[in-house]
Amino acid sequence: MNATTTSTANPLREGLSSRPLPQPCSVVIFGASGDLTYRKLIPALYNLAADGDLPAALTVVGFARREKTDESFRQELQDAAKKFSRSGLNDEVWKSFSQRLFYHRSEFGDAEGYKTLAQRLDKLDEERGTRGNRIFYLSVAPSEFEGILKQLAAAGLNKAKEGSWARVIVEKPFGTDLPSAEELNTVVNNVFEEKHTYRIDHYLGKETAQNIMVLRFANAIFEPLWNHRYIDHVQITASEPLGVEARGPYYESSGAMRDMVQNHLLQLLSLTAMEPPTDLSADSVRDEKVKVIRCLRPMSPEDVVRDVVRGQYIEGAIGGQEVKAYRQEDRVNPQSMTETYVAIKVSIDNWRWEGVPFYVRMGKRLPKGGTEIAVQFKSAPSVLFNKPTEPQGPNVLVIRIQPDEGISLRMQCKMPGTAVRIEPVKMDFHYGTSFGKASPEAYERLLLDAMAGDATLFARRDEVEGAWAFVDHIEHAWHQHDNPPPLAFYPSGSWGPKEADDLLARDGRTWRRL
Amino acid sequence: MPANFDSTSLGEPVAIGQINRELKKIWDTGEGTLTRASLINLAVYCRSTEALLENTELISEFTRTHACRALVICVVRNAPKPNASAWINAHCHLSGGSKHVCCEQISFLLEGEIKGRFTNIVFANLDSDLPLYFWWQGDISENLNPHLWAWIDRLLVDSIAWRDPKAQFARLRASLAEAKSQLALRDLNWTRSLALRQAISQIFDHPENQPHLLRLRRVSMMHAPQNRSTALLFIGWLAGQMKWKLKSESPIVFTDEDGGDVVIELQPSNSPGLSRITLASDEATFALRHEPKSSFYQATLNLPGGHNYHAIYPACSEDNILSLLDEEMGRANTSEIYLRSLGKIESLL
Repeated sequence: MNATTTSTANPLREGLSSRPLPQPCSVVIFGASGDLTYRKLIPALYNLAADGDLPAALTVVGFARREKTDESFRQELQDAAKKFSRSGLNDEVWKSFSQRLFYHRSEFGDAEGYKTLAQRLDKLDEERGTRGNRIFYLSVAPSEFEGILKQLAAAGLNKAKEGSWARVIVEKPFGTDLPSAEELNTVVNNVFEEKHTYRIDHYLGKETAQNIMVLRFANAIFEPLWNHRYIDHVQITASEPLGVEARGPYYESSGAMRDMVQNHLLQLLSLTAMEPPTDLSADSVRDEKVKVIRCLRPMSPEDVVRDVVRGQYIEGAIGGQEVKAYRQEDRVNPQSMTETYVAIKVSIDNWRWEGVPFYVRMGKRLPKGGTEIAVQFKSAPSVLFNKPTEPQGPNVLVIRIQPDEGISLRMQCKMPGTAVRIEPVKMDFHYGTSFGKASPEAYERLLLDAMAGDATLFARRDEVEGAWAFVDHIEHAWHQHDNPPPLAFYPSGSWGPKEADDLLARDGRTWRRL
Repeated sequence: MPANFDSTSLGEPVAIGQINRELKKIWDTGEGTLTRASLINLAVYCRSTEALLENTELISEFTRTHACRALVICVVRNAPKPNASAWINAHCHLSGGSKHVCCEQISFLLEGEIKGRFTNIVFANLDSDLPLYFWWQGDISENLNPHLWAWIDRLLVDSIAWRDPKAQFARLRASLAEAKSQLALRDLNWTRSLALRQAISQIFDHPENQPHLLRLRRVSMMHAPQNRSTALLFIGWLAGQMKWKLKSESPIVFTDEDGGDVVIELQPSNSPGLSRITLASDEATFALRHEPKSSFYQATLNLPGGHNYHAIYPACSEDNILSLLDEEMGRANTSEIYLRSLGKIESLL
């Protein structure tokens, strides 16, 4: 049964909810002892319960190797929810919510553990009305996926009973390159059909990422200008003051490109560049996004030398404190060639974006943290104003994804006085100022969507593989080409290597000041 | 102005013709440290100086989460001579730890009778291009200027306070028809039952519970004496959504689509708001209980086969006007279901 059926079957729902309704189900979390469960998943589910958004018939079963009882698991989760829930912890809510939490101890490879899991889920269906609907949340390393999925299939848990459903949620990274992503997707899709597969990219759950489509398609003033005739270029930036912290070994194998660009930033790019979908269904939206990914111009090794900059931070200062170089970080190779910064000039070969570069950059140990999309319009004709001798100030529309979510528009204005002097001014909209309420956490929205069967904010297989195909060209030029481009170094606390500035300067442009 | 009226909390007294200039001074003084925010115009109509002060206190809290320009207009018609006074104020709240986000409040005390003055005051002080939410407090004792009706996007009333609800609704309908207004009518008394309606509808989201909804035979509610109209509106909602027809007013009995009777029992109680509700079919009962001071409804479901379930659902404080307003701001701009519900129980009011 899908969400629409549920809502129309209940006449009392009319006018009370404008979103697909989550359905009764059991959520089984593999890797229930992991950090994600404690920091994100359980606090998100708890907040949904506190807001009354969870279906009454919902159970959560933690599946992990460590020895625990339901009670000890609940106690640990209570401590975590107290620490990480955005709304604090209400005893009355927790008392009710915790009764839905169960722990199932098993090795991931133990067939018997899955048989008993199936029996337990059937019993919970009977006792708690979860109706045979299941979500299997793989909060584990990708190397564990295959084993878990095979065991789920062997226990028959991937096949829902008549009138029920079984879905799988997969956490990133979805592979490390195209072949591994294809292999991983095949492993998942051998057990769960694509329509039951939900790949989480938490950036898509952020309020401002969802607002990109609203901004573009609910306002008549932007869409007519949203093309190569009026837009000069687009800059997508994700900057972080943090270094790799305790994630040295992971970062050594991923780097900035795989960690951020392949997923989060290309998702933002596709939302910015996509055509209007025919409707708001999951596949209509994702069809349009994937078309953008397919139009990304593949890069030859020569293109990579010219249009991509990779950098790595050296020592410097952040927030007045001295910080060490990447190569001196814990469990990082002292000769590491891993990039902590990447800047790419991306071309989209379609009608709308012909000749409009998308400059995408991501860096660690930069002066300020923030993620934004800046759409820079072409300058007005210089017949009256904007003469070459005067400072140029094109209109820039900035969509701030995080922090301080909002939108600003820069425009030219006459300064008061008898002479005509033009200065840029900024119209600024801040979510926090205009809407006093806190946005729900990305995981709250995404978990609710998965329970409701709405996959719009989840990455589809062809999106993921298309993004890897684009990124792999760059990775190959860096790591497998005879004459790889050099790694540029930048001091911690700066805005990245000089080569990244040169990348834009060559086109007569500069990076936006954040 | 009444001699003992302490207007300190209303802010700076200003001449009505100088309001915009004086407001601008506030923002010029605070430039760089204060951010002005506004998403709606909220005009509040009240009839006593006490209400003017209470509304100011309420708006100070309201603006923590809802940026608006507030116009609080107190009309005292039986004053010895006509007079008009105004005050300006900024409600500032810390946002994100460092920035002060401020909303403007302009307060008016209009004494005596001058035709057209009230409408002019509203028109002259709106923040341009923003929607107008108009909160009419108390009885609708007069017809509003049709031009003003036409400007209102959302009209807030609270029918719990009306002495003669049947007559009030009739007057309201006449005014809306005269003005051909498209405004959304929102009744805070209807909002009082929102959390209960959400909880009940969530219970019947579950497919196993839905057959019982179609075969309800009895609905009993306990309510505080002043909340009888709240309870009736809730019953009206059930009747409207389930297409029940009123068969008898005393006792209250509806007939469902299959011709079966649904008996309604409303019992006054000492507990605040809507404290108990039980929906019963021949085979199942769904009971919700709201204990005083709790933020949740405790639900007990007794289903065939001895299956019993317990759950909790968020409740809202029915006495807290601020939380009702807060709920109201998050709702869509439509009154279709409310009017349908009202139609089902209007004769019982």
